[in-house]
Amino acid sequence: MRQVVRNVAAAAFVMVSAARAAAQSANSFIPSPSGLWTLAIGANFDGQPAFEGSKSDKLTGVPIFSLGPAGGSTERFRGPLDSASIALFDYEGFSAGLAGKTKSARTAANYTELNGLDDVKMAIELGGFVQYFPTDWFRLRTELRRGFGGHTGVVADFSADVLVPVWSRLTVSGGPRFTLASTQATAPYFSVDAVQSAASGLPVFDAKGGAHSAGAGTQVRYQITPKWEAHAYVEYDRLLGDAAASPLVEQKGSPNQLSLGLGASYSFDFHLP
Amino acid sequence: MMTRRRARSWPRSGAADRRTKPFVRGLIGLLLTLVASGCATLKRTDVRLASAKTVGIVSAIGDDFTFTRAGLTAPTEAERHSPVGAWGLDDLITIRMGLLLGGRYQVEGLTYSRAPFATKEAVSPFAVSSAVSKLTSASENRLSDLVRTQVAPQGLDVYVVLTRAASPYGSRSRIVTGVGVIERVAVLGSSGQLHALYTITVIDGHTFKVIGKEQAAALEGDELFRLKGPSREIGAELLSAAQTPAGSDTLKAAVIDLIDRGLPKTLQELQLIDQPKP
Repeated sequence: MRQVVRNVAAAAFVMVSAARAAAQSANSFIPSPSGLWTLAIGANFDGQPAFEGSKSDKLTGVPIFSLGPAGGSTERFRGPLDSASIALFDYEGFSAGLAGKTKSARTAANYTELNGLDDVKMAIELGGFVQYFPTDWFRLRTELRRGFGGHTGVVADFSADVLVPVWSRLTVSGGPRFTLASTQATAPYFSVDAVQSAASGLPVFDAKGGAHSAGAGTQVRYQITPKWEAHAYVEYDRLLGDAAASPLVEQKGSPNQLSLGLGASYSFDFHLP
Repeated sequence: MMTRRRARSWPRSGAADRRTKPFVRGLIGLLLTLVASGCATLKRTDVRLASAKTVGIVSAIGDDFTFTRAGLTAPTEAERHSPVGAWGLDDLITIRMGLLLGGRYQVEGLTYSRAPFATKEAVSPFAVSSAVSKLTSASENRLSDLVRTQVAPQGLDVYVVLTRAASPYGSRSRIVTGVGVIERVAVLGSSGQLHALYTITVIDGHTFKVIGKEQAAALEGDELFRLKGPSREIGAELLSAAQTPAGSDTLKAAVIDLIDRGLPKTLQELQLIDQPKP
């Protein structure tokens, strides 16, 4: 229990610190607490697969809370599926640092498709990111994370985004995505062992790692006023390899995974003496 | 009795509590230290400034005007620099600061070479190295050394130094400094933002220690994208003038207005002038 609390605390710290710090310049990294700060609060409403490989969806509400040094933050680009991250190196559009995200627990009792399968605990994935902006309107990003808790494998995400400022208030972005996952990151969610097979009626399946998913996503961001911002996104992924070949997906789920999100935030500055 | 009961119950609490309490105590201690250090800084500043009588002003926001394009631009596009020494910006700032500070201090004229103060500081791309640099006050030491070696007369109680400041901008958080314009290029037209970013550092004239430092804050304006410092959106006329800024009196007036609007608040934050009475 303490381990979980510690993990959640660590993840929360990373997430809270990260939204503004993601693309933050080294120039203002680890700032003095005194000075002008920007606090953004808001909410995101996401519709996403109930669990990985599911054909049914769930709606979740997630609060937005980010704190960072004032200045320039409203323009920073952040992909909807980016992990929370903190840049440790930032130079001429190239940045690298720490990244982390959580993967929800999968509780078999909550979904009939999972009858007979084991629960999977929440996973915390910690690692690093590298991203490069050759221009203001194009970003390449990759993340490499190792799981703790629900899975102990390694996941690598690759994405490219074209950012098009349609006019000063409206920016549309989007591009392809690709994910690799190791066997240890895939098996807890897609393997079916003999006991589970007997209980669920699904055939035994030993899921291996490799190409995990490929897809594309787009995001629209609208700066309503200097303080109010609204955004929406759509992300489509198709499961690949053993994730797609799993009997859970083939017989009871779908390899097509769609996520939608809508959110708004309000940011304001305050001064710390 | 209450105290005794609590003392007795403490050893019986769980392992998590025993581990958590030192952590919480440590956290509270850290926060108190941060608050206390902030208060201590303010008090030190206050005491030294309260006894100060003579002040010298150095202004080095620079004679350089930058024109930067963001958004839909070519990968090879770099910021353009134009000399605006003819504007006499630093002399105007010195006069305005002198007027503001004259109510409390005796402001003395200084002789100094502006270029060393206007030099852009190298910033390490490594966050840790940058943080260490901040902790060791490398930038403050540089200014103190310059005041000690490049400014005459020496021996004033306080030296107030205005230098260029920086702010991130754009989707990839590039850095813009000092005075200039950012043109944001979009599919359906462009927009412009004029900025005048500066930091004021207060240096003790006897020990040459930095006793206060404040970057001018963003103004409460209607600019869509806030920079870390005074800025405002500009129309097509000023955006066009920013291509050849030296000859534009309108642009010069707009820059001076930006600096003027930010100066009183920054000097108040540094306790160099009084808060305005409501």
